[in-house]
Amino acid sequence: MSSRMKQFDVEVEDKLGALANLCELIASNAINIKAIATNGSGCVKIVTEDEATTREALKKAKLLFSENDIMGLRLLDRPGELAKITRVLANQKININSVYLLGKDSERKETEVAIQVSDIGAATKVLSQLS
Amino acid sequence: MRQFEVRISNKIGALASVCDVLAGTGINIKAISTELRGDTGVLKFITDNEVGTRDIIKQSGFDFSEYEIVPVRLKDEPGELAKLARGLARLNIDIESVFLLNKENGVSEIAFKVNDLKGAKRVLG
Repeated sequence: MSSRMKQFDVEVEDKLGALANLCELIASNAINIKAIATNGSGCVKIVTEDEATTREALKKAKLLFSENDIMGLRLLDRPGELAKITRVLANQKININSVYLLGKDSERKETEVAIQVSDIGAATKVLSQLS
Repeated sequence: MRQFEVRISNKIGALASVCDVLAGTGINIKAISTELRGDTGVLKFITDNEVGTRDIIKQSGFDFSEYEIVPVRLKDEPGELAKLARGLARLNIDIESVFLLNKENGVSEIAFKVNDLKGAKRVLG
């Protein structure tokens, strides 16, 4: 049900073109962005198809960034599915730091979401018991 | 397209409480993204029922606001988002928020919140 991947939290200046600069840097390394979500004006969260090259490119460009493990979860695309997951995690005292969409699969009526939690080991365990 | 933003405390169960309320009304969340502003969590989402969403989050007493966003479809390949973000920057349009609405069969759909909706719509169609 869940897979693990790396999220890069990149600090960007709160100014015009900051997102373009970051995307161009990634693109110039021929890296595809799998998912993106802004976090306030100063931070962009990205998941890419090539972690090692992304890390190198960000370092070379001297951008400030951190890396976080996230879970990719496939859920049925219908009301109540995310509520169920978030409630289960809350009951286990696991804090959700971030949630965003990774993709959809309309043939299977599924949504894939990225979840960043305070305890990924515990979250993986409790969610694996659901399916 | 309407983006709702609900401000929630950064504590365990806060996200679940919003999701529960929406699910309880049979509303499907089409896309979601979170943000931290200081100690406050901000939950940004788009649903399949704008009127129902507005009603239920009001009724539930959540602190919320709503914005018009521009949905854009892009080829899911390197450089596409860069091109678009650069195009907006050249027109002095500031991108305040970005997140994925959909991604399937080689096409990404992205929600942009900008400071100049009209200007952005001219560029993005």
